[in-house]
Amino acid sequence: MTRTALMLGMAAAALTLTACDQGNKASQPGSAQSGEAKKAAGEKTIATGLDQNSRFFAAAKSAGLDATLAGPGPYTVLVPDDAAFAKLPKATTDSWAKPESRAQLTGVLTYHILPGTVLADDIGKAIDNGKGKAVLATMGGGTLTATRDGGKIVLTDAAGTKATVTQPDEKFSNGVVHRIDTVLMPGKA
Amino acid sequence: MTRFFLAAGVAALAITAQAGAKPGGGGGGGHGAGNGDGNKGQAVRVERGGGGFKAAAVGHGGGQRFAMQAHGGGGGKSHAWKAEGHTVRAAKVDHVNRHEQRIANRIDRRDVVRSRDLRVENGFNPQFGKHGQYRGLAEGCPPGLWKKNNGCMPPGQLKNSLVGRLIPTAYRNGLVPLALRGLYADTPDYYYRYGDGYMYRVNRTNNLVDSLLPLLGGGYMPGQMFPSSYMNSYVPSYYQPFYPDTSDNYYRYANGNVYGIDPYTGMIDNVIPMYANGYGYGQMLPASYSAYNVPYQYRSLYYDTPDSYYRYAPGAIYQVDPGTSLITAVASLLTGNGLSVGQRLPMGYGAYNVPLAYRDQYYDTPDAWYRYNNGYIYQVDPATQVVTSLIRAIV
Repeated sequence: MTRTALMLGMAAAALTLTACDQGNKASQPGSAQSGEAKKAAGEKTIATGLDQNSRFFAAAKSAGLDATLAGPGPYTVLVPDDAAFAKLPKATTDSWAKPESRAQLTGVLTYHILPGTVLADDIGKAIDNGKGKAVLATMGGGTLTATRDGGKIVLTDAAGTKATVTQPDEKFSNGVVHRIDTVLMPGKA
Repeated sequence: MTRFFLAAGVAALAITAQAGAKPGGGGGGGHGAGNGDGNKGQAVRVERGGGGFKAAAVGHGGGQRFAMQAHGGGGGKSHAWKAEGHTVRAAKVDHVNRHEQRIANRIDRRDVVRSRDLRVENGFNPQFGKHGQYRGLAEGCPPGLWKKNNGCMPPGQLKNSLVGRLIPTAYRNGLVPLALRGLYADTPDYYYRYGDGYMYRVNRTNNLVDSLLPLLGGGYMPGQMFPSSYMNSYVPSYYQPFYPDTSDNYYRYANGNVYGIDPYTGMIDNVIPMYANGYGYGQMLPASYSAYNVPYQYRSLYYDTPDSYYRYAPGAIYQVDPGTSLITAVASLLTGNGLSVGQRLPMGYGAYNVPLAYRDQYYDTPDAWYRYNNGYIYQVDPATQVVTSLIRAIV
């Protein structure tokens, strides 16, 4: 009961804050998630758990997906670290800041989100079942191929670029996060 | 077992309801981005590897018809398109066999919905004759021409004509929804206004339009000429069964959208986005998404309020500003390639993905696997890889 009151209080506070920021407009959109959706999402969502200063979070915010990762999901998010973003050509990451490229950025980010909660063990079992290779569906519509290299899981994207899972299984109330070391790119449709 | 039937039955109802529901009455004109009346379809999902209880919104000349929005003046009158409606058909396909699936998905003439069947709730749509044929110019401009003050302007000229001009009166009050102010942030030099699918960046000192940002469908809207350079850009092979060229409708692909083109005029008459490549945060949902169409299992979480609507389009449930149809947030991601009872588990679901809270109850054994998708947990037969039942709704 107090938990709900606390959440409601926080939500109200957040609303008031936004109102102050934006000026004097009366109607408030609030957040993307309804009260019920927030409750279903739980308290420690992926959105709150991610480093808000990271490049991944900045990209997610730009595509509006930070609000999505605060929803019930559940989602499995492959989060490339900042160094991974630094590896990308500057022209690509610069273009993502532009509104015209938002759809493209959304496609790249949803390529890093898998439906449901997939733990490293689950990927491992699927790789074993598949005799060394497993295909993983992503929210963006494309697929990733998972294999093992030494003790770690390696994900290969449509272009053949490989990313290693450096830190698996960070659990949240609405899913799980696996940290990877390279940004994966969906194929050109 | 009964629960399965119930859930499946409900799912089927929900999907057919989505497919067959009448379009809502015209929304307000207001900010020049009003939803007009006219031939509006429901948002229907394109399912790959579908069948079972899914409605396959495919076929020649299929997809949604967009109500074009008039420019200038007060309330938007829409220009409805060709009289032939679109086909939605619950294709109950038992085999995975693609060839047979294609046949099942093909339009059955009897299933074609005529525009006269999609009556606007408020009354007869004057742009359609009593046999459903498009009468053309009843009110507003002929298809493809944008209303501009007294006359009609040829497509493609809108953009050129407005840059460097004073922001039109109709858009001066087209405020960006609050939730998007961060995205289209006013600066000391510029401010943003919204109208009819474009975001206008206006110079503060002289109120001249500095640039336009198209917010709909990759920049090309129904009624515009499709660039001839894209006419060789065919739909990707895996979509081709769903978007085949016919003698009176071509499909081409650009920027994440499939475009339906009239072969005789070269004009776009339909825009169908593919997954998250089509719509996004800050963009506009077309008028054909005017009705609430959130998938059944998510309705208790995402319901319309006066401040925000929720609409489903391939890939996501979007939060939408009711007045402007601008997408203010992505509330939830959904997979387009869903699981269907009776169908094989699609590619990419080999890994166990049941949410943590349900793992004690539903775990893989040699006799049964469990997979999660879009709010439901399904049971799968490991030997045949067929999805045998829908076990549980968890949202």
